[in-house]
Parts: sequence; C-alpha cells; structure tokens
Amino acid sequence: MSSGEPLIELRAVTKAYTTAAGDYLALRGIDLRIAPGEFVAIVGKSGSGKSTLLNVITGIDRASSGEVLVAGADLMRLPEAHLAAWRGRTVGIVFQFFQLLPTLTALENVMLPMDFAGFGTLRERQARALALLERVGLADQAAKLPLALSGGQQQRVAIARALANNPPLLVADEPTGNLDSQTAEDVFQLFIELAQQGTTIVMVTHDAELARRAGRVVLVSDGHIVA
Amino acid sequence: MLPPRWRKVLRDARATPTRTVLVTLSIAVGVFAFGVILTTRAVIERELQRSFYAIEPASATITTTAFPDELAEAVERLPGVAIAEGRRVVPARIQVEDQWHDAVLTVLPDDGIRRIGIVHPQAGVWPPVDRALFVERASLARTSGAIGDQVIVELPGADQRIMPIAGTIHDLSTPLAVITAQKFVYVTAETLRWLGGPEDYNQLLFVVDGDRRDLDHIRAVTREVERFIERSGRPVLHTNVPPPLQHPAEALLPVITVLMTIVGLLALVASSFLSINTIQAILSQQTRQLGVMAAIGAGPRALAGMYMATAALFGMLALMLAVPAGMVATQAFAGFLGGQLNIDLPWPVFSVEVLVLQIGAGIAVPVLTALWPIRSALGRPVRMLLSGETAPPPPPLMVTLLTRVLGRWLRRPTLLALRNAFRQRARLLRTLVALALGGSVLMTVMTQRASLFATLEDSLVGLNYDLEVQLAHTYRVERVMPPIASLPGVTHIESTLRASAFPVRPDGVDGEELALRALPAETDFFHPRIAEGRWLAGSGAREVVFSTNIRSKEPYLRVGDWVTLSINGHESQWRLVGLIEVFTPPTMPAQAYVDLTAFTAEHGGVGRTDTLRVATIGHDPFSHAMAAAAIEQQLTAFGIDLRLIRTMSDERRILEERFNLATGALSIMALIIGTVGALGLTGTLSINVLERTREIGILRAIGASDDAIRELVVTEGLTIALLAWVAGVILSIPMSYALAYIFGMALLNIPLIWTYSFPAIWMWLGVVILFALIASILPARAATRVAVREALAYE
Ligand SMILES: Nc1ncnc2c1ncn2[C@@H]1O[C@H](COP(=O)(O)OP(=O)(O)OP(=O)(O)O)[C@@H](O)[C@H]1O
Ligand SMILES: [Mg+2]
Repeated sequence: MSSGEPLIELRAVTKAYTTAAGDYLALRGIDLRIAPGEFVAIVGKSGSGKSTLLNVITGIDRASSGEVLVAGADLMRLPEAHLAAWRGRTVGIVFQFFQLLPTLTALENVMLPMDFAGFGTLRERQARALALLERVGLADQAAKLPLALSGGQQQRVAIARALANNPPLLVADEPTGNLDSQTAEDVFQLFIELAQQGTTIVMVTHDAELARRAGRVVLVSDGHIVA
Repeated sequence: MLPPRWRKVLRDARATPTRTVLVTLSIAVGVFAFGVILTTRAVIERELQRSFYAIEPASATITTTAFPDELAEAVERLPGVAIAEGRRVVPARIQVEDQWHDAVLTVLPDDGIRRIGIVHPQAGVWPPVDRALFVERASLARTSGAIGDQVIVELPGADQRIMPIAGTIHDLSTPLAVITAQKFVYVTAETLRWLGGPEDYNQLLFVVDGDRRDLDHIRAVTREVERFIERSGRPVLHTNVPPPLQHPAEALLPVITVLMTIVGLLALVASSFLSINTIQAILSQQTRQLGVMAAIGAGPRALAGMYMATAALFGMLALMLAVPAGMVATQAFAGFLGGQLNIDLPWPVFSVEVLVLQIGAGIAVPVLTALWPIRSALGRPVRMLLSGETAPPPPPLMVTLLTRVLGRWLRRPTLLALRNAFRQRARLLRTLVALALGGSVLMTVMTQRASLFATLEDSLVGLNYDLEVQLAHTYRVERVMPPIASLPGVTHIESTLRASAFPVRPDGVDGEELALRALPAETDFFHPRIAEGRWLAGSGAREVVFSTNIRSKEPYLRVGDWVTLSINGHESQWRLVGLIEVFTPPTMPAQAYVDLTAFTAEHGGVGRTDTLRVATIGHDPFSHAMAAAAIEQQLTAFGIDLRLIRTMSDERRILEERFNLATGALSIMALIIGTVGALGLTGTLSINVLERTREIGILRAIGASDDAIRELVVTEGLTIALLAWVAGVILSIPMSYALAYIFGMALLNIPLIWTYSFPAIWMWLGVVILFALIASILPARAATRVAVREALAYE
C-alpha cells in the first residue's frame, strides 16, 4: 500500500438506529481519512457516536449510507459472510471490558483468532501466541484462566489477542476505561510501542491526557466530526 | 493437542456438569429406546424367518383318508416334489393338573426325525418312547404341568389313558400359543394304537422342488399331487397351501413393529427437545462470547460449527451410555418377544444396521436440531451479540392478564413462578411436548386396555350361554339333553352341530378351513354384533353368516353372493347374508353360521347334536367350574363321550391374558417416553435456574429465604407439569382413538370400542406432579446455593 493512500476512508457516512421512538441518527455525515501508521485518538462526550464510528470501521455494524473503505475493502459491499474473515485478518479489536473467553487460558485466547483465520499449524500458532504474550509481558501467565488475572493483565492479553493475526489496523474502544491510572499507563505505553512499529491505531478514550499523546485527535460531537 | 475453539467446546460442557449430564441422559434415553425397539424388531424379523426356513416348512398339506408310507414315497418321486411325508394328526383332550385342555395329537416317527416341519428335542427323553407324552414347549409353558407329571389323554370316543410327560419338543410349525387355546402334543405310533387311535397317516405334507416362494408353482404341483392321491382311490378332504415360507405370526408382526417404531421415534424426538433447549440456553448465555468471537474473525460457519460440535458431544456422551445399556435391554426385550413367538434367538442379539443407525441418530438428531437455535442466535448483527442482548421476550398478554386476575388469590412468589414459566415460550413448548407425549402414551395405553375389555364385554354380551359342551361325536339329542337338563342350576340348553367346512373358490380350489356351526336361526344364545348385512332369516333358510375375518381370507366374497361350501367332501350352496364381529385374531379360522334345520336337510344329522350350549343360574367362574364338573360327571355316568367343556369364564381368562401381554409391552414404551419427558422437565428447570442466577441473587440480596427460593422453582415446575397434564389429556384423545382402531382391525378384525380411561387422567396427574417434584429437587437446590456476590458477578 503506497503511503499516499489512506488505510481508512469514510465518506458521508451516516448511521441510523431504529428505536421504538423512531430512527435515531447516531452518525450524521462523517468524512474521515486515516493514513497507514497513524495513531488516532477519538474523543467526545458520552453518546456522541464514538463507538458507533468504530463499529462502522470494523464492520461490526454497517453504516446506513456513505462509503466505508478500510484496508482496501469496501465494507458497504462486502457480504456478511466474508466480513468476519476480513476482520480476522485485517483488524485487531480491543474492548473496554477485555472480553476474554472465560473457559480458555490466556494462551488459548491469543491463539483463537489464528484458529479462526486458519493461520499456520497448531504448533506455529502456539509459538506465535507465546511470543505475543512475551511482548505484552505476560509469558509467565500463559496457562492461567482470565478470572485468575488482574484487569490490566487481562487487557494486555486482549491486546496480544488483537495482534494475533498481525493486522495492519488496531481498534480499541476505551481500552483503559476500566483500569486504574498506573495500569492504564502501562497499557497505553503498549499502544505507543505498536504505533512506533507501524501499526495503525484508532482508539476511543475519555482520558484527555492520553488523547493528547496520540498522533492525532478526532473530536466527535452529535454524530459529526468537529475537529 | 486440540485447537482452542474445540477446547472451549469441551470446557464449556464441563463447566456446567448438571446441565451436561441431564441433556446427555435425555438423549441417551431417546437413543436407547430407539435402539432397543429397532434392534428387537430387526432381530425378531430376521430370526423368525431364519428359524422358520430351518424347519423345512411344508409347501402344502393335503388331508385324506388313511394311507401308508408307500404313498408318501410315491409322491416324493413325482416331478416338482422335493420331499413328501405322511403324518397322523388326531384331536384329543388332555388333563394336566386337574385341568382339561383341548389338544392336537401328532404321531412322531420312531426316531423322532421329521423331514418336513423339523422338530427339535428340548428337554427330557429323546428319541420318543412309547406310552409317554411329548409336549410342544410353548404349549407346556401355558399349562401348570412339567416333565414327569402324569397326565390323562383321551381320544374322541376312546378310553382315557394315563401317561407321563416324557419330554418337550420345539415345533415351530404350530400356531402361536398366545393365540390358540389348543395344546400340541406328540406320541409314537405305538402309543396312538394304545390310546385307541387310528393306524397310518391322514395328512400328506410336501415341499416343492425349485422356487419355494412361487405360489403358482406350489399350486400347480399341489394339483398334481391331489390327482395322484385321488388316482390311488382316496378322497382329497382338504388342501392347505399356506403363504410360502411365511411363519403365521409374520402377518401380525407389521402392526406391532410399526407401533414400536412410532414409539421409538417419538422417544427420540422428545429427547431431542431437551437438547434443543440446552443448546439454545448455552447460546443465549454466551451471546456476548459469540459477539467477541465474531469480532476476532469467526464467521457464522465457524461459530455454528462450534455449537454443532457441542451438540455432537452431547450425542457422543449419550451413545456411550445408550449403546451398552441398549444391548442389555434388547437382550431382555427381544428374548421376551422371541419367547412369545416360540423362537430361539442367538446370543447376543445384535444388528449392525441398527447400531449404525443408532450412532447416526444419536449424533445427527442433536446436531441437526441444534441448527435451529444456532440459526436464530447467529442471525443477529455482531453489534447486538456484543452488547449481550439476551433479554427474553416479556410474557404474553394472556399470562399477564391471567396473573393479574389470579393475583387476588395467589401469593407473590407463586405469581412470579407463573410468569417465569412463560418467559421462554419456545423452551416451555418443547418441554411441554416432551412431557405431554409421555403422558398421552400412558393414557393411550390405559385407554387401550379399557377399550379391549369393553370390546370383549360387548362381544360377550351377545353370547348368553355359560358353557359349551363339545361331545366326542354326534348323539341323538334326546339322549344327551335330559341328563344335562336335569342338573340343578342348568336353566336352558341349545343343541348345535359343528363341522369343518371349506369355501370353494370360483376357480374350484378350496379356501381356508372354516369353523362351521349349525344352530337354530332363532337362537336365544347367540346375538353377535352385525358388521354388515343381517343375521340368518329363520328356520330352514339356506343362508350363511361369516365372521369378519373372512374378508382377508376370501376377499372376493360379498354379502348377497352364493357361496359353495365343501363339508365332509359334500358341496352345498348357501347365500351369504351377513358378516358378524367376532373377537378373534385374523389368523384364526373364520367362523360360519348356518341354520340347523337347513344344515341337516342338506348334510344329514336330523335330531343329532355334537355340541350343547348351556345356560346356568350363576355366571361367575366358580359356578361355571361347578357346572362343568357336574356336567362331565353326568355325561360319564350316562356313557356319553365328552370332548371338552368350555366356560365363558375360561374364554374370558384366555383373552385377558392376551390383553395383559399386549398392554404390558405398551406400558414399557410409555415408561420410556415418560422418562424422557421427566428428564426434559428437570433439564429445563435447571436451565431456567442457571439463567436466572443473577435474579435469584438479587432476590436473596433483598432477603428472600431458602424456602421462598425453593418454592419459586417448585411452583414453576408444577406449573409446567399442570400444563403438560392438560396437553397430554388432549393429545391422548385422538391418539388412543387411532390406536383402538388400528389395533382392533389388525389383531381382532374389528375396531375396538374406544373407551376413554378416566382413571388414567388422574393417574397421569399424579405422575406428572411427582415428576415435577422430583425434577425440581436438583434445580431448587442449585438455586438456594446461589451466593449473592457470585450471582451479581455472574455472566
Ligand atoms: N443499538 C442502539 N439503538 C439505538 N440507539 C443507539 C444504539 N446504540 C447507540 N445508540 C445511540 O446512539 C448514540 C451514539 O451512541 P454511541 O454508543 O456511539 O456513543 P458513544 O460516543 O460511544 O458514548 P459512550 O462514550 O458513552 O460510550 C447514543 O445517543 C446512543 O443512545
Ligand atoms: Mg462508547
């Protein structure tokens, strides 16, 4: 991919939620370009549409209108059945509440995306998962179940899982929202390192301090990008 | 090492052991029932055929007058005949342990080896010895006698002789002991002479050369043999060409096996319902996990695969229980049926096809039914899955209204339980269906029993006599009537004549033997239910009435036709005026009734009788037994030879025994489906409790006691049980009606009089409440163990 082409390009994207009280427009014409390697922080008030925007970018939700091009794929046209496979290869997702599968160990949680993507042999997956846990500093916790890990540890396992298939894009919705400030700092440090190594990162955060340290800040308000 | 997704499948199953055990048991019971029933069916069908082939069954039997070995040898040399053998068969009666039995006595070769209808010694002496009796094993099993007992044997008109039962033999060519009241006994030629019986043979049996299944071929050969016998100067009294190579019971098997198969399938279906409920519960509990897996790259196929694997895992666990347990039970069940059919089964009984089918069904049924909840779970957008939207739909308006109305009388927890039961309506429905199926089968079985007895009573209503006295030969009416009429307790006597008759088919061939009885058309004793046409018009009318099973035996006959009957070699014409319902299996000979005056005018015997029907003051078994003894004594005193006395109580007892057998087998099947239903209820209740862990935690947090929590679960179970009670009652009505019709037509030639068993409703209520209480034990205990903190952290 040439450096001139954006990794993410949204044009006139709207998203309407159907509710009992009628349609609610959560995104009202979003235009956004994010270049490969950028570290973007998305900020805005609660209910402004940040999560909705991320969901549109990751294909977890479909926009109501507009164009969504991510890593060369036209998400508005990609059939539902291919979307998951595309996401598995292209996007690593980190959630606010970690969302590790409770009956799998840390190592197995990290191996899971490789399993779904059909990456390598079982042995290779295991080796790669261990390497990723090493990278987030948790190689010694590999055999533990999520409940036996602290919040910060769980989030770092979740980041390792997001990196499993070596995706060009990492998306995180308030990854530090549930962590104390020291742990949050550790996790954020990981993101910075990843960004430095060339991963494109889009992160929603409520923490203005952290946002300022990202490469670029996008402010969402009432479904519009205002800055 | 297993890829992580499969490890998740395994660990999730292990994480909720109660649920896994319940669903496994439920599938196991379904697969078990299915396997036992189908294996039994396959083995019985196979072995019945194999055993029957092995005895070298006769292609045809020709009855004639006495003939020596030479005739049989000459017949065997005829083209088309492979084996021919002479046989001597005489009617007799035997007394075993003070009980007289109608018997068929057959002479065995001195070495005991028959080439047609091969017999095998079972116990006691072999080869046969003189002045001793050998009894067919199934016949002996239905008397109180044993080897070594002294029995009295009497041929018609001959002296009684006492001899021991020297051994039992297995003769598969005899009719089923459950159906016939006759006992089959065997003696040597010398013993028959000693008993005062005739010399030589009276039946010629043969097996055709070439295709033994080809009925036309058999008929053609039979005609040649008949001609040959006639050329030898003997009359052909009767020819019997049975369906080739088919054991008589094979005609009855389809009804039984179809019924069994339906029950087996129902059990499987019912058990799949809990599997669906469980998979649905797992999916709803793991909604957010589904979302996460979709978010990290799991496509719908991969996700569906994981939950289908879960279902397959339940299926495999179930098979590990069902297959071995099924083998043991099949041994018992097939053994029981084999005993009724008088065949020996191999050990172990086994059917590869059914085993494969069982394994297939055990896995395919849960997997395929899982597709349903999987589709609806995965049909939602990933965003919804991720947000964990699992909120069950609110209870329907009806329930809301109902609980509001009932709210005046019911206490709060009861109301809450009522609403809870209705929260997951599809789940409730599946639980209800499984439970109601069990109940309806139970009520159907009880109704079936009631209907059988009602039909029996109804058929006996038209029979107004108490005893039937069959004499060894005909006597002048004036000679036998007065001694019996003079007995105290005898109120009325009617004299009749019996004969065996053969309908002559349009092509000139004899049809199957009919039991013909000539009685006064204006009889006081016999008012059968008319199925078609009418009863005999009156004295002297040349009319005949048949029992309805004639339809299957002589299907060309129509009411209004003239029928030619061959009676003792003499043919006569009768107009068929009606068909009557008689309580008898289709395999038994059809019955024919003609007017006594008309009969004697044609065939002679005016003023003579061989059978008397007697009415007595008392109608209970004791009076009947007393009367029978008195009549026997009186006849002996007057030098009249008796063949047999049958009382109405005996008839009833024989039929009741048959019913108990039929309903016994059905009850076992009801029990199996009932078990599936009970497991389903337990499973659903524990799923419900598991799903509401958080809610229960909150109730506890606001001070609900253990008793209150327990009451909540039990009331919910009772609510489902009561609904299943109502549903089962409703379902049982058409089900039992259909069974009464099919069963009656197949086994008795008349639809049973459908008599709904009301006690069954209350019994089912008791059963279902018991089920609910038992099913609530585990889930209620689980619910009271919910700790507040844990519950609130639960996901
Ligand atoms: N499934 C939905 N149905 C209807 N409305 C929705 C739905 N999801 C979100 N909304 C509405 O859309 C708007 C944007 O929601 P979104 O979750 O994107 O906000 P957010 O910026 O992520 O807020 P927060 O910072 O609180 O996470 C909100 O007003 C919300 O109420
Ligand atoms: Mg949000």
